[in-house]
Amino acid sequence: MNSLLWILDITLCGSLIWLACQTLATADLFKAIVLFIMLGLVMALAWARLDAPDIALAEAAIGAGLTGALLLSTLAAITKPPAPRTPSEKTEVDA
Amino acid sequence: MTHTLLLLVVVLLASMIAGLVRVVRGPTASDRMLAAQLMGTTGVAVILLLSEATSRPALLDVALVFALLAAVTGIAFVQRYQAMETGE
Repeated sequence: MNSLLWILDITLCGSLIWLACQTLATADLFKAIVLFIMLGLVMALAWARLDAPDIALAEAAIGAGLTGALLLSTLAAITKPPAPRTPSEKTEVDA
Repeated sequence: MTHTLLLLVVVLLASMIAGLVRVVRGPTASDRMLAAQLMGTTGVAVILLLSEATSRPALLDVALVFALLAAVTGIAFVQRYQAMETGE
């Protein structure tokens, strides 16, 4: 049992560090956001493992969920400016 | 019993790490987002097993929030899916 807990902790630590490096190093913004969400999830697992359920709760809610959704929304807003779409344009694109 | 549960936690964590490969390599945005959703679901399972193995019922709330917030990121992605795919 003790060795299994050790494996668990080492895996969590290793993947946290790796995820943090990947998140900082990647050039693709969408990939960075998804990696950030993953970092939040693994961080929440680590807090749960550290017997801090309330911090894990806050991390999962704010770090992974809310911030992830807001970042995705922001990326969509900055990558494609809202183009005016009249019905005639739409049929042109479809045809 | 506790030993079995912890073994299952380790196996699920290994499957999460395998999902990370898809997040890093996945060619399209949907691949990455779906891998993230899968990992959210696996995270719920990991927390539930951990709460049972270490007998900490407080962790059940964390699992609940995990399940809820994974859906929120999924919805945020689907809402902006068109812009994401054409933006790449």
